[in-house]
Amino acid sequence: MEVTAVPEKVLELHNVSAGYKEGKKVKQILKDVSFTLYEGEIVGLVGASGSGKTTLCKCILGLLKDYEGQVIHYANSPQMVFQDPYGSLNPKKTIGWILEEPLKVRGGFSGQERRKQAEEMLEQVHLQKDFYGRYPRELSGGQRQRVSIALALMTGTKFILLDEPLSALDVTVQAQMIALLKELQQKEKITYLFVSHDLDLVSMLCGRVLYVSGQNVRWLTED
Amino acid sequence: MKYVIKKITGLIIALLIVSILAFLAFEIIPGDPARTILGTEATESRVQALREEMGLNRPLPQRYGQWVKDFVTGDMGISYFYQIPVRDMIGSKIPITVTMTVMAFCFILLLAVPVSVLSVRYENGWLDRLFLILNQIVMSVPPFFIGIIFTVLFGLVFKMFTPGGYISYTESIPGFLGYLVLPSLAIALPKAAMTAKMFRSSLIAEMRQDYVRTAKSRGNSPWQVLFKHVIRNGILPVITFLGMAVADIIANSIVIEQVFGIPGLGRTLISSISKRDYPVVEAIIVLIAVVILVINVIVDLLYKKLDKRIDV
Repeated sequence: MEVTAVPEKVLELHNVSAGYKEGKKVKQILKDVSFTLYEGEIVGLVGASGSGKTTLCKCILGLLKDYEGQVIHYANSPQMVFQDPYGSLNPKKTIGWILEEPLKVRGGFSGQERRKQAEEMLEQVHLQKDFYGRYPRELSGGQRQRVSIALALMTGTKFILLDEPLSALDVTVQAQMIALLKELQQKEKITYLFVSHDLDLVSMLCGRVLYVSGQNVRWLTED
Repeated sequence: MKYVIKKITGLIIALLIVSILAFLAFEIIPGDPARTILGTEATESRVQALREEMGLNRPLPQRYGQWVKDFVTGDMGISYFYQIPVRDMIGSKIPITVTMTVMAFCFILLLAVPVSVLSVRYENGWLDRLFLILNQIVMSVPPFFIGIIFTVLFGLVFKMFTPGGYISYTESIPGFLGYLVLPSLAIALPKAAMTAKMFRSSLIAEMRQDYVRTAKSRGNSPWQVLFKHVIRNGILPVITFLGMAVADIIANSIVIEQVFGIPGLGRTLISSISKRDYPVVEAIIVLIAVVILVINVIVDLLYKKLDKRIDV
């Protein structure tokens, strides 16, 4: 994979094709998919169930190794925020431990530095510092999604894939989450790829929309 | 603390029920202990005199109360057959069976944990498939048969030990432990295969969770994901299974003692049942119940420590 330093681009896909083996046959899911995402934009990804949205996300995240074409990341590795706020955080670890883990993996941070950064990140997603010592089960769905976003940001990424992150939340919490996502986008120049079935929400939140259908991906707003 | 008290109360109630059942069972089973001791030729008056002496003519609740009181103070009664205190008869055998049970339990963990972790790490690879086949074979063979195979293979063919040449712990601790390795392994193998199968499924289910995917994307290596995230979450159902497996291990140790000629509680239990030596049988049943129930309480407490959602 060739990486060229072009700052405004975050992600580039060139002729990506992917499929799954079904017995001896290969079921083609995506064919010759190409698009580019830029810094600080919110892009919607819509399509019917089984159209290939998840496969596309897996290609982008590097979770699917067996694909053709090129996926070029210009920023740090992307992070993902999942639909289910209850399954996306390790239930046996405290929020502090979870948030500090990316720093432990990277290395070079003292315990004090890690804690300070974790607490600052909690404040950035509008959670109090005392969430540091709590377990995921003690948090509401919305609070967990905020922790998931904080966790993604702790890796230093500028590109987050959001897989239906609001569908498990009630309307009030959804509004708060949208406000938070927009705030982070403006402050930190984060790029979001927002996977959703809710076209109203996507059109309200996203500047551009990708539509996945019949193995192809095309821009809805540019057509 | 409330949880601990609740568990210990449950343990005491369960023990009382087991002791009542053990005591009642030998009252219901036909046969007179006095006649068994004196033989069929004894006169009725001699039998009656012995019944009186043994306290068998007293009301049942009174005898049960006395038995429980004596048991708690360490007096397990007198063997009908050998006329010696039950405590002296089984006291020296308890360490043998307990050692074998503990060794079997350790073997289960030593075999099942690495096998299941490796299976999950290399899921659907050749190692995983090999383990699945071996598991399927081993779990379908009963421990006594594995014991017989071990005796033939390691005892008669490779001459690594002398079948029936049990070494007491009073003679040599290493010799004693060495002799118990194969019997313990025979007990452990089928259970280890079952534990590995269960642990593998549990770990694979955990590996499908979203938090594991995010852990991977944060830069954790596959081993780090397994050890830092997955094992602790996947081990809970296995702990419950192992708690229940203790009863099976003890039951199997009774059979295995016969195969390897080990003078443990199992052999004493079987010979006492055939001789209708009820005080010995009752004492062993209650002791086995104590071990099983205490281990289950430990498992419950461990479970609670690992999963703090469980409460009173």
